[in-house]
Amino acid sequence: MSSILPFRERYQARASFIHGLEPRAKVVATVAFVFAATLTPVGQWPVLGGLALILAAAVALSRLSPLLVLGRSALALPFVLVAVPILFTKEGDELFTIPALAWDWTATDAGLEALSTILAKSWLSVCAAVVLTASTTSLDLLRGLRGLGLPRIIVATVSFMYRYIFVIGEEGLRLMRARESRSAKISSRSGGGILWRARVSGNMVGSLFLRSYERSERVYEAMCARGFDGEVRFLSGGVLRRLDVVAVAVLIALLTGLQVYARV
Amino acid sequence: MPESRITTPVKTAVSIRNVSFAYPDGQVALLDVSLTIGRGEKVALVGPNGAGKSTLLLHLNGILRGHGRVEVLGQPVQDGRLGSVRAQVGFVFQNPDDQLFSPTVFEDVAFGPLYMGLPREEIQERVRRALEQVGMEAFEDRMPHHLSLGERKRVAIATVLAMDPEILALDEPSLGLDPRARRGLISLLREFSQTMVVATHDMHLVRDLLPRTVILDQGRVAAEGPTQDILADRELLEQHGLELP
Repeated sequence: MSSILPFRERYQARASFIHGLEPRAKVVATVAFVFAATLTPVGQWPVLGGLALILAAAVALSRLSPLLVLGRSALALPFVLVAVPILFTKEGDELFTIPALAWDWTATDAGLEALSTILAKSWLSVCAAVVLTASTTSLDLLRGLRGLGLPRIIVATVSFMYRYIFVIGEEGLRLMRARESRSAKISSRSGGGILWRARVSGNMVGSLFLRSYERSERVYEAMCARGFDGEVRFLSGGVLRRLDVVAVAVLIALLTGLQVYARV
Repeated sequence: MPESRITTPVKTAVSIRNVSFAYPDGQVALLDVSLTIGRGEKVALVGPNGAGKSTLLLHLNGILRGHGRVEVLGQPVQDGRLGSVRAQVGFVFQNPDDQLFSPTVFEDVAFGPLYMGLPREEIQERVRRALEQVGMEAFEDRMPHHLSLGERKRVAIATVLAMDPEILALDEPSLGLDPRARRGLISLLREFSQTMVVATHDMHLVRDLLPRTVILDQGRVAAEGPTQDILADRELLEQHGLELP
């Protein structure tokens, strides 16, 4: 059954060095990269440049299209808005002033530097995550997290979500189709006011919740029928090769080097 | 197979004695039901919607427990025995989307053996064998969501075959299948030697697969006997909202 839903796998199938790495190695590498980006002090442009180079190398090695990575990284943009006030709150030389509301908003050079560092850091981090999700299937990602000792209950919750998000999504879609099929329009009168429509939508969400809740009971019964005893268990995962360990070690050495450089 | 099973053969697969069950909202689903099923027997549970077919099936592995006594291969279905009872009763639920809850076919089929505490190699071997038995061996890494209903039903059956049960309990196995998938399922089920209890509305399946029929109506056993005789009694069938195949 092909999915009729708008959300799809983020995975892009390729045969590349990055795709071939063990999921655990990729998760550790990505988390290390994000930490390194976050720990970089304000205004350390050479270090941020170094991080960008590492990222570019990873994109090249993964044979993913740079445009795809850029496009998906746009996801971070709305969150960046949160950082904008820092432009006006740092003490420093005045750049420009916006007279607004009760007082004047003064942008400073220090504020600008802090803001652009934050932008660069968050964008680099998001890009790293994009490379991870585009080069690793959701399932391998789950296995990786499992292998790294993420609490089982969290891993189990995420795998149930992954299994049922499409099932429940399609159920929602069917509800919407059923509503549309009965939303006939006679002449120019449209049926129902906005409150009434809101109530219909509310009822739909409610019935979707109830159905999912009932489904969870049945799934639990199916698990019990096959011996589930309340403890989450998994088959142990794949093997780390020397290549995986070396790749992660090299990356961490580079990142550490950059952080040391930033602080001397 | 454990020694004890060979030295003391049990002839009865399922023994249900005076079982009554009411749902928490007070609705009575089973009323004083008694039924004995021999090993290797293949039994149809038929009857109108709400007759208690699924409820009775769920008593076989202790998911539901009412008043009365249920024994599976000589073991009472009660606390402390549920684990071993569930290893003997393979339950195939009506909706494969409920039965297949893992991200991949492999992990789902491996779930039962994993909880039986088997070693890794044996689990892999059982998964391979179970999928082969239902003709789905090429689907190990697929997501259940991406399979057709007929394929999902087959995988759902494999999930219990991997546990090597003595008894198969199937709830509406042919529901929603197109004619070809339905025929495929019937010929698949015909190959199994296990004791089989099937709740269904599909009278073709009953005729082709299950030599013994039990009619449930309003929580009671209304009639039982050889399928041939039951199907010949038009009046009886109509009385309980059933029709001839």
